[in-house]
Parts: sequence; C-alpha cells; structure tokens
Amino acid sequence: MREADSVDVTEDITRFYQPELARVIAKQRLSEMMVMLRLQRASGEMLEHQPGQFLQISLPGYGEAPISFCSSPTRTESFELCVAAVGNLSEAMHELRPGDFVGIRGPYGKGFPLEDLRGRDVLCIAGGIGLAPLRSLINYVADRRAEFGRMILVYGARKPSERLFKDDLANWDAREDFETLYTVDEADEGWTGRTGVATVPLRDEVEIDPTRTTASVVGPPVMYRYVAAELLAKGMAEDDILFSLERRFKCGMGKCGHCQLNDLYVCQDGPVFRYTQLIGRSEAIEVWAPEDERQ
Amino acid sequence: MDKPLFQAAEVLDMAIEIERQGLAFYEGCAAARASEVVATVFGYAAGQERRHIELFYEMKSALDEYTVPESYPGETVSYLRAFLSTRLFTSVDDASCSAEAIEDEAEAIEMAVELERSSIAFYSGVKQIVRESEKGVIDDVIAEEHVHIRRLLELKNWLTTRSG
Ligand SMILES: Cc1cc2nc3c(=O)[nH]c(=O)nc-3n(C[C@H](O)[C@H](O)[C@H](O)COP(=O)(O)OP(=O)(O)OC[C@H]3O[C@@H](n4cnc5c(N)ncnc54)[C@H](O)[C@@H]3O)c2cc1C
Ligand code: FES
Repeated sequence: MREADSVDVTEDITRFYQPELARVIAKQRLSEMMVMLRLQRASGEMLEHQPGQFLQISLPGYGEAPISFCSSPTRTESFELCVAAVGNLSEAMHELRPGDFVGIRGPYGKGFPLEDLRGRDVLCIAGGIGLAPLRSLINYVADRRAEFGRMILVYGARKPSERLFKDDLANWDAREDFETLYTVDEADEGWTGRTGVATVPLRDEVEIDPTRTTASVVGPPVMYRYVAAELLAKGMAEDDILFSLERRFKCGMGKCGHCQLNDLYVCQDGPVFRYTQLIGRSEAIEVWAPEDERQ
Repeated sequence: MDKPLFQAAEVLDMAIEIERQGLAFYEGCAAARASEVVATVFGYAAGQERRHIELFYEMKSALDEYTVPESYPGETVSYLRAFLSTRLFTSVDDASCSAEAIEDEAEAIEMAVELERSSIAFYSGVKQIVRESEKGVIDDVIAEEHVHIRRLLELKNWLTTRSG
C-alpha cells in the first residue's frame, strides 16, 4: 500500500466500502453480449463524473466490479452504464429490470483530462466495447461543441451485429462537425462500409495536425500497440496519446494495491493514462508501440 | 472474455513470408550492381534471413493447441495482418523486382532499413502472442534485425563520407 494513502487505524475504514443504492430506470439491449442500463441515485441527487471514470457496481451475492460511465456528465438527470455479460456479476446485471436496485461506489479514477482537451482536436479511437467509455467523452464534446476543435472518431467492431450504440453512431455520422470512420473486421451481407481493424482507416484516412490533436484510445489490449505505432507515425507526441487500461480491481480506490501497474494504481492514477506514463513500465507492455519494445 | 484458440500457424506463415521478402531483396540487391562492401553486408543479412526462415518453420512444426487472450478469435491476427499490409513489399516477387530496379546503393540501404524496421515492429507483435518458451527465439530474431539496421546505417554513413 502507498504510504500517502495509508489509512488512520482509528478510522472506520468500512465506510469507504459502503455502497449507496441506485435504481435502474431503463434497460436497452445493444448487442448479444451488451446491455445498457440507465440508473439514478436512490437519493435523487446528481452523480457528478468525468468521461473515463468508473463506478464500483455491486449486487448482493454476485460481487462487485468496475464499470465505466458511458453517458456524458452534461446529461445529468441520470447516468448510463454498458455491461458485457462475462461473469457472475455482469450476467446478473443483464437480468436487472427497471425498478431494481444496485449498489454503487464512486465515481473513481482519473478520466479523460477535459481541461487539457479543450481547444484541441479530439481524436477518439475505439475498438469493440471500448466505445462505451468513449461515448461519454464524445457526447460531452457534442454537447459543448464550441469548446473543442475537430472531433474525429475511428470505431472498429468485430461484426456489424456487435456495433454498439447504433443510434449514436448514426447521429455522430450525420453531424457536419464530426468526422466518423467506422469499420468492421468481419462484414456480413448487409454491410457496405469499411472492413478491417480500426488501425487501417486510422492509418490510411485520418489526417491530423499532430501539434493540436489529443488521441483518446479505448479497446482490447491487442489494439493499443498498433494504434500507438500509427499515432507516433503521424507525428503525435507521446504525451498527447491517452489510453484507458483495464486491470482486476478490488477496492477501486487506491487502498489495496490489487490493480498495481509497477508503481501506479490503475484505479486511482488511471484508468486513463498518458502514453508517456506507460512507456517503460513493464506491466503496461501491451500498449508499447513496436519501436518502444525495450528489454 | 473467452480465451479462444490463437492461429499461431498463420502468424508464423506471415513471419516466413516477411523473411522470404527480405531474403529476395538482399539477394537481388547484392547481385545487381552493388559494390563489394555493400554486397558483403547484404549477403550477411540474406544469410540470417535464411536462418530465420528455418527457425520459423521449426516453430511451426512444433505447434500444438495454444491459447492467448483475445476478445474474439483471430483478433490479434487481424491487427498483425493490417500492420503487415503497410510493408514496403507485398510479395517475394515484388521484393526481387524492387531490388533489381534500384540504381543507387544509398536508396537500397534506405529501403533495407525500412524493411528491417517493419520486421522488428511485426515481431514485437508476434512476441506477445507466442508461448513463453518461444519468446526467447523471437527476441533473438529481433536482436539480429536490430544488428542489420545498425550495420546498414554504418554502411550508409561510410558511403556518404566516402562520396563527400
Ligand atoms: C476501469 C474499468 C472499467 C471497466 N468498464 C467496464 C464497462 O464499462 N463495461 C463492462 O462490461 N466491463 C467493464 N470493465 C470490466 C469488468 O469490470 C470485468 O469484466 C468484471 O470482471 C466483470 O465482473 P463479473 O463478476 O461479471 O465477471 P468475473 O466473474 O469477474 O469474470 C470476468 C472475466 O474475467 C475472468 N477472470 C476472473 N477472475 C480473473 C482474474 N483474477 N484474473 C484474470 N481474469 C479473471 C473470467 O474468467 C471472466 O472471463 C471495466 C474494468 C475496469 C478495470
Ligand atoms: S488499489 Fe485496490 S483496486 Fe486499485
């Protein structure tokens, strides 16, 4: 445990772990694997969060797990989470219905640095379910459009049926002030768009001014190193590339050391990191661009 | 997420293809109009590419069922393939033809450096997905490709100083 974060022994530390209740107010199936839940605090109060931050979600008997916000903080009356059915808790969350309650702790973690993004061109690169946390950022930019430069979204899904947030994708595509490049790895008969992984349109079609662009990247670990390579090839500075990482969490707030990545705690120092923070940290090797592979 | 079967054989085939292209390029350049010193460095690099081909064939014959974390089967291969499509050459023939068409030694060296750089990038990706026991072999190949780049750059410097 970090010295600075150590807890006063006289303090009742259980209060840190005490969840509050949130009510499910709507549920939408996004794909075979994914549902989106709209929730509201039982207290009715607003939950202030930043795009890229996460909540610790719990259901009695099923455990607790971190889930990112997928709604923008500009849309405040409720918040949305997008959940993939992969295990105990997430499968149980797929069974929730409007009116049901879940436990929440948070928001936790460092999200996308909005202050630094303001005035700059925003390049979002999403792979698979990585679009969920980025949707929060993209809709934030949409709602405060004048505060940002270009908004470019590159999104790669495995198949057309696995594309998330189809309504949002269509809305963003229709906006003149958004540049969208969507691709699927495996096309089906109805798909007329691009095929191939997200790095292909990123490499071939995205032209940026590297001095005014910040890239926010969320996707499967295998994607990161190739995206990093393409962005560096476009002349971007390592400090302007942001990656959101996933690790196994326990406390979610820098107390237990479970999510440690060398000397960083993913739950507290991240999950959004600058590429500069990750180069050379051996436990973040998945994101190093090929040229940065060092022994 | 599932941990589906990884198509390691396919990646090793790509590695073999990369080495074949390198071999064709180095042999083509060494044969065409190169000075003795350039032919020696290119000949040395060609010999190592030949050995890498054998290594990857050995790895392929020792393959058994093996899994790595992917969010869907074939995900890693998709990224590798996309990455590979940016390479200088698309086939062994393409590499030979390019080698024959080159007039200038400096241009040949620059192309060779570019080729080696993209090979290193590809192998760093491959290293992430092979078995622990094979990581060392990939490391050795990467190290040898680094040596090629160093030698090529030394050669380029030498040619520039000589002509300057
Ligand atoms: C910052 C952050 C944000 C996230 N945001 C989202 C989100 O928005 N939506 C979303 O769906 N998911 C998100 N996740 C992932 C989610 O928290 C995990 O998938 C979580 O494990 C789901 O809990 P579960 O009980 O349903 O599954 P688990 O029972 O925990 O199992 C999930 C998967 O992990 C494997 N697993 C279990 N234990 C371990 C272990 N110790 N080490 C390695 N693998 C293990 C299991 O085999 C299974 O494949 C996020 C994770 C992080 C860290
Ligand atoms: S320190 Fe406990 S999960 Fe990060």
